[in-house]
Amino acid sequence: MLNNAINLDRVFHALADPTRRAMIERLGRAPASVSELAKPMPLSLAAIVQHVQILEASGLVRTEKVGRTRTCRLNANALAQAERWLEARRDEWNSHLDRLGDYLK
Amino acid sequence: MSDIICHGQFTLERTYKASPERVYEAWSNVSAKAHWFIGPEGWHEVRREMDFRVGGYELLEGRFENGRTTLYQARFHALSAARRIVLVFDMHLSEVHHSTSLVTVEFSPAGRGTHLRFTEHVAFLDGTTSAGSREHGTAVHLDRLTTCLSKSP
Repeated sequence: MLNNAINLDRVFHALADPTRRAMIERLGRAPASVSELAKPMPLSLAAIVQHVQILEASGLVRTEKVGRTRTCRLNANALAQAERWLEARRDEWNSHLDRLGDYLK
Repeated sequence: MSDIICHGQFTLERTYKASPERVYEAWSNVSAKAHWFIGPEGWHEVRREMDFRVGGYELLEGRFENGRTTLYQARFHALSAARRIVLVFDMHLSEVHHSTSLVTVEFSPAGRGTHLRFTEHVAFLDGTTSAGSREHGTAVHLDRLTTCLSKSP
């Protein structure tokens, strides 16, 4: 389930942390293994793994384990689509509620 | 391909000068609702039905000039006159199941008027995962997303 869902609230939470934003910037250049992500960070591998889990739960990042290496990559296209849909839906209801206001006048 | 589900939620608020009873009426009466619950420009209504009771069903079918169709199908789950409406709806776009949502609409008195709070929890169902490629430029994109999400209260 974690690998197959984008939760925009969790995305917001995931983006609220500077370490995770740095990891996303890194993944924006190319996919990376968890240990590659950990290398420039002054944190334990266990802490990095936790951050990866939060990113994965949001749907921002997908991971895949091959042998002993877990590779992380951004899930940017799906995220862009989710964002457009949510914006479109919000716009739609905004105009409904505005029209309701006109009707009630 | 539809192998990804995207979850989101948002809340919209308005204050209207009409009483909660009148605002609720605009939601619960099919001909009143037809004044404001309509598609954007270029859209026209094909079919509208509403059976406003718990367990009752609402349908709004429409078509754009370019032939695209919309189908909104809702079921009312909880109703409390002049106070709240809880419904679940499916949206089909050109016969593809686009989303399923839980909506709550809360009405509360605000002076002589009404404060309305609309919240939707939505699951978009016709997503595709297109692996690889456009990963560049994501930072810009995420900035926009953060802005977009922080708009919701």
